[in-house]
Amino acid sequence: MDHVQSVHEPNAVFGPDATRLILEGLGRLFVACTIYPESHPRVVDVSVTVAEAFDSIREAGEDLELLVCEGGFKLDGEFLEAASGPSSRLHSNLDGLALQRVLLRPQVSAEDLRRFASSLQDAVQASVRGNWSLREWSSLLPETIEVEQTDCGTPDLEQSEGLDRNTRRRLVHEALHPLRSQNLPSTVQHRLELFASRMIETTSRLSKDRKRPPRSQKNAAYLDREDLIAVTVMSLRRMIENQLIESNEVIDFDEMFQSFALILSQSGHFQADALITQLRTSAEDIMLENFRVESPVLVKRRRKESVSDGQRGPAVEPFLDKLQAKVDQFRVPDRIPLRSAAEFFAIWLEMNARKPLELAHAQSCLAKCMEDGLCEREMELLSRALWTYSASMDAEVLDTVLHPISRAFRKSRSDSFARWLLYALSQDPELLDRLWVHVVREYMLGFEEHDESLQSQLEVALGSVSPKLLSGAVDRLRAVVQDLLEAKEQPRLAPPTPRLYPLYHIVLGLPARPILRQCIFEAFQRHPPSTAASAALTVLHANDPGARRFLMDLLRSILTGKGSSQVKNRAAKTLIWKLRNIEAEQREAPWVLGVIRSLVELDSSDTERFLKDVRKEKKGFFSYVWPAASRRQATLSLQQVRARQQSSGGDKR
Amino acid sequence: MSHAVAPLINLFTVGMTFSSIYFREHPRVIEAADEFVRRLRLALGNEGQEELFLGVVRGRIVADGETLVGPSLIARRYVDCVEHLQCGGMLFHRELLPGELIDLFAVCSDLHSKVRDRRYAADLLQAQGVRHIRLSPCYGEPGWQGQDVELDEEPSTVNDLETMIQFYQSLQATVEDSHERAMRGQDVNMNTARTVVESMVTSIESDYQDLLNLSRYPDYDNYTIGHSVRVSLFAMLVGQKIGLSPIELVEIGTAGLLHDIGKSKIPQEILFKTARLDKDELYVMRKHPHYGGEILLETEDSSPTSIGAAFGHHLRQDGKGYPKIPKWAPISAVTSLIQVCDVFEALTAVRPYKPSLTPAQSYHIMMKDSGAFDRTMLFSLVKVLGLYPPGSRVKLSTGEEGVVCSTGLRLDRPLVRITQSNEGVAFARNDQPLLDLGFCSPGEVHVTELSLDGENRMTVGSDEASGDMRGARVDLSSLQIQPCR
Repeated sequence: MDHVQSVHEPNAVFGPDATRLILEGLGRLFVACTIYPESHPRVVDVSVTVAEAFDSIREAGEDLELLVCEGGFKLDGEFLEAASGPSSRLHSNLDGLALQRVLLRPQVSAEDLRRFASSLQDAVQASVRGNWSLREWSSLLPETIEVEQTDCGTPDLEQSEGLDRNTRRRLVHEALHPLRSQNLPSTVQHRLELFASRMIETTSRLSKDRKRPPRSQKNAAYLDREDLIAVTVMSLRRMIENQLIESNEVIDFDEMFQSFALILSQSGHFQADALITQLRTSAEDIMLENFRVESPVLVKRRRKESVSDGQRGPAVEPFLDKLQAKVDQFRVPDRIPLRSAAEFFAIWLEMNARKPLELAHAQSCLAKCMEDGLCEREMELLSRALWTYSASMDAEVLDTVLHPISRAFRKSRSDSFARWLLYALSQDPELLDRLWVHVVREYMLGFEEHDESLQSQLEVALGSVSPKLLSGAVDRLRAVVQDLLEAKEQPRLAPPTPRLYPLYHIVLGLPARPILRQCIFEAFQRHPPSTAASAALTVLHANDPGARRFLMDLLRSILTGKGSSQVKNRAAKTLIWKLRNIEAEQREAPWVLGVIRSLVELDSSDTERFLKDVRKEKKGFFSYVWPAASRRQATLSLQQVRARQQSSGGDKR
Repeated sequence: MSHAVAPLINLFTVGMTFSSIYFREHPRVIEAADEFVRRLRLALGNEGQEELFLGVVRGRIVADGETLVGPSLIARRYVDCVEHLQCGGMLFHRELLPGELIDLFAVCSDLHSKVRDRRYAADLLQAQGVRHIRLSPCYGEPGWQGQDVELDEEPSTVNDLETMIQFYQSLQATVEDSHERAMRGQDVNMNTARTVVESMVTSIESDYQDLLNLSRYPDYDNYTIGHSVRVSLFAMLVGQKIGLSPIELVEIGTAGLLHDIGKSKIPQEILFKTARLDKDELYVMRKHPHYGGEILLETEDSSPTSIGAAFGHHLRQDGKGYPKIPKWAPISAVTSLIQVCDVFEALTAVRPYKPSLTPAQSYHIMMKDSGAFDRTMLFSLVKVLGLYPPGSRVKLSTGEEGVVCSTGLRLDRPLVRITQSNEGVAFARNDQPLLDLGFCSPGEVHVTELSLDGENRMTVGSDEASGDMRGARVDLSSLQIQPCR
């Protein structure tokens, strides 16, 4: 159904479909901005759709002019009736701000449109509060969008009959805003709405009738009227706040007007007193004519006969009494969580059991249910449900489910997911075959939030995972590893303990992003294995050529107890290569002495020559390349190397 | 003649719907065309006329110079056809044959935008052999076949009728389109559904009662479309009154509109059966929540709340109901709210197999079934709708008639806008006095009749007032909505 009725002119540049799409889209975008924040995906989607509709404009390279007319818009020479909800809402708000022309440049982007729609919403709010300034507001608009306000002398304004329905409703809504948090009876609310509506309408009509300033004083008449309405709305709002303190049941219109007039007079507006005088007169009429809360027949009947006390209507029957009593006692909870992750999980399990469904959407829905965290009850339900279904669920499905759930658990309480894992494993140790990847994640990344005992239990659990299982599930492990990296900006991994060297060895072997390698290196540098070769780790950078290979070989030699001489040899060569290539000023660094000392333990043909070089190498005739301390350590190390060689049978390599 | 229009528009809508979903010779299309022609001849014969003119002015159906609100609400397909054919309405001759109507359905199903002009449209129909349907020029153009229409001066019970009709048509269209797409195995357009609800949430605010007033016009076909719209409106009204945010209202409204989407997968002989369903048919019918969940879970961009409501709106708080779900599974607030509104709507609506119950009788049934409903949502519904839900029409003990604006402090004492005097004189919209029954004693004035759909009047204050709830003996399982496991 076409929401926008159009009368197309033959000289239009862009065509009726494009203009209709744009107008409808702008309306929808504005509506979306009143509900969602500017960055919400819904707003982004709508803005992209509208921007796409601008393609024809970009092709034509011409500006698009949107004129606000009576009952609709003129767009690209075509009159489009503001017939649908969104377009009529856009119309009433532009009209309410007296914006008569919006110019959209061909380069307008989705982001620009979002900014415009969001700013327009702000402007509407600000104008109700009476602190909206066109100049200030328009300066914040994107360069691709220009607006122009109605001149005070335009026929539209002169002929207008008070406020349009939507604007009045919006103003009433603003005036009654304090009621939102109150659980007022609807009749009371309705009366307040009527009163506010009539006061605003009367103000608007009174101010419309005021003498119009000279044409040269642009917008003055309009702003004057806006100003008065804003003061009225603010006064109504304060009056309602005061009324709520004193009374929440019976509303007396006369009393209400007195209170309102008092606040209005205190507003400090220079025209307030004049306005009150006029409002008082019209308020009496309003009360008499528009606020009749009695039916004409009833009025007549009351005049003719007074209703005796004994005269009663139909007996109120027991069920209604009971129902009424229950309803009276009933209080709406302050916060009602609409979504339930446990409900969705259960539904999805049920459906998936019958027919495997697409996992990605289910995962995003589950994540959506938990985006604000989880309450204790939901966590408990999910914990139990996960435990029940983990054993029977396909591994891929289980991972899909656990991914968002683990995040939400952690968000609600940082160690909750790790505790759940341990609980599940304590109940059924065989679950380790399915859950171990998640234990890996919790152990490696959650260590900073876990206490020592928890971390140690995770370590024990992981230590019992067979290497065969670890190496047989490379894809799952890779998925976990990627998740690790995405979870934090600067991830740090848990200290590698010997029990977990097999795990670290496998993870290091995965084709993963460089950042993981770096994290693992840093972890080993902080907690090096107690072997001579570990000294090489301290000088290596994760990205140094052969660094990963070296660490893997080192771990393998520890795990298998084989090939340690080759590792030592490589460590020595690595260290020597690193020391030969450091900058001159770094030679003074304390770690250098340690490295020179550690070379004694490493078995390399290059060691002796390097130590000799450190001891003797000169630059020029008199000065040494290496500082005195280094040379002394090199001399000492050289002696130890020679001593070892002699003790091992003078085997000189 | 105007009384004959609603069924004809219904049949036109059914024929068009099935022609576009399936094919022109589909039994439902033929059935609708046959019945349309039969009713047309009957209506014309009774009036001694040769042709029936069904005009469209500003999205509304007009006949005999009258705007027909009820038919307009369900006339989106007819309005679309008329707009696409660039005319102001169609004249159906008494010699019209079902085959010609089927051809018209086929032509209109293929049109997705306006044709060049009316002459081209007429040629198109001629070429298809449609000889007994003429196209009228648009309203205001020379040759308009209808009478003058007083569009702006009609006495109305609804504020800004035109906007409200448009909103209602959009809601209807959204549900219809969603069901059609699901029936074809296509993704439901969540974007469209959300857009309509967003627009309502931001534009309507306090005017739900007007939409509810409109929503009570009789349903067509399988009751799913109007029912879904009403459930959505009830849920949004309750949500608004219990202070939910606009974002949450959009979620609830969308979930309400699509909660019965699974019915699109139910065989039509069961779905359209007007008699009570037998055991086997009931078994098939009870699969619709599961289908609904599945359809929405397979739809990109669907929300977990909509999926939950579609799957769980027949689940009970005591763990019974259907489909099967693990015992530990909770029922979310949205699902609970939709469930409460769904049952209330079903109880208060007229069905071929049951009369409409009053809200009081419905609450009585719902309260008695202790394990069925979430108490917060049930009490919220009672508090918001009262015994005379906003939008319903009432007759007072003074003889005056009116429309309920809102509930009062007491459930049986609403705020009423009086639309008609005790002498039957309709008040113009701006002159309609407000009567707050909360400020009058029951002896002075009380509600004597209630009409939820604008047609069927129910006497109230007699059975209910004497405490007799025997009228409320309908149990939930007989409604095909809450069988116990």
